[in-house]
Amino acid sequence: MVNQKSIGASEAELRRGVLVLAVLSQLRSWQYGYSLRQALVDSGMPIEEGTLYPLLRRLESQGLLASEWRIEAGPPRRYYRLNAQGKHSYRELGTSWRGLVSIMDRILDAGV
Amino acid sequence: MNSERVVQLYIDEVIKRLPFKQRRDIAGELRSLIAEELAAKGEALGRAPDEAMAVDFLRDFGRPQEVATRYQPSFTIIDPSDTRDFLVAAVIGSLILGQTYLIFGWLGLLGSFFGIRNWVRRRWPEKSVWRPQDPDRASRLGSLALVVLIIIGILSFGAPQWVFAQLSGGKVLSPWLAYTDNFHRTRLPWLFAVWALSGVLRLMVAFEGQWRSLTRYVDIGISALAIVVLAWFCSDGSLFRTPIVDHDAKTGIAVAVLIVMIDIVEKTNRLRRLRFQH
Repeated sequence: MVNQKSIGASEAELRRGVLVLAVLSQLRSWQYGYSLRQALVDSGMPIEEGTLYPLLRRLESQGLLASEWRIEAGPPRRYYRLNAQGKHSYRELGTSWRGLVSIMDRILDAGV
Repeated sequence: MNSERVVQLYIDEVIKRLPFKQRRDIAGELRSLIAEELAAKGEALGRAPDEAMAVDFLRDFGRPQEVATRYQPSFTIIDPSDTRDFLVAAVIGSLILGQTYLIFGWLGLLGSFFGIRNWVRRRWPEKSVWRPQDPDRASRLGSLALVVLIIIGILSFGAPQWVFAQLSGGKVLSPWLAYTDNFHRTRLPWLFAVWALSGVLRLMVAFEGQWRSLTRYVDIGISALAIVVLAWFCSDGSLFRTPIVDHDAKTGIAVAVLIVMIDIVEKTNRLRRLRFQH
């Protein structure tokens, strides 16, 4: 039971680590919070609302995202998209991630 | 209460913890996102969102304090790596000062000390990097500065009227601060003896430029002696003629005893570590 709990906590930590990259990957086109969360759920990366929405604001304050309010058919929505700095960071992080995956694959294959 | 009202109460709780300039914007965004999430949840359940559904959803969303924290860079006043040291000092202080109002002062002092230390580490991280230090090396300048402080202390406590007259251009110190004869004649000289011993030890250390096992043991012994003398001060009659000054002086001595005790524990642990290494 305790072991299962600790595995769960470690897995949550792994997911937290890739969250920013997953969010950036979905913001190559304009998205608002709810649609972004649905896109992530559909891609197999569910994320809690209370985590995602503040994360978008933080990424914006770090200068990675552009945002604007839009009033269309429904209620006003704030849309986000990668800006130039965000695109650059996304490419850099993507390269780092692929390198990390390849290293981990080697380590895990050697450990089997 | 309808679901919109529940959501609004929740958002109010979140945004009151955020900077003013962000509140309106974040409130608007949260309102629209939570409304969409609730509508989707209601659709999945086949009914319109109501109070119970909104409360359930917002509980999953997170406590307002947590959500507000996620919106801005978080910081801690006491660094997690300092928590143990803080707790040890707070517990020892509570055991000694728990019956007096000084405990609040002690806890405030600890909070300020650890808070400032944490701030300095964040502000100038390059100055906080670890550097190897010879544990036996003694600062000559520091040791001599301590000797000077001891001499000033003996003069100030031994002849306060004279020191005050020198510093104030001949004015007379208030009679409120006069010692009792018994304390001045029989007990105070013992404190000076302890300080003098400590001064001699510091001079020796300054001369050699390093600590040895013997000087470390002597240092701990002098600190223990200081505790005995200070405890005697508090338990054997008045120190000052004015009762309120006497009371405050004794509580001040209790704080000094606490600090010396922590110092002894620290020095003993250091000595044990060094012996283990050798």
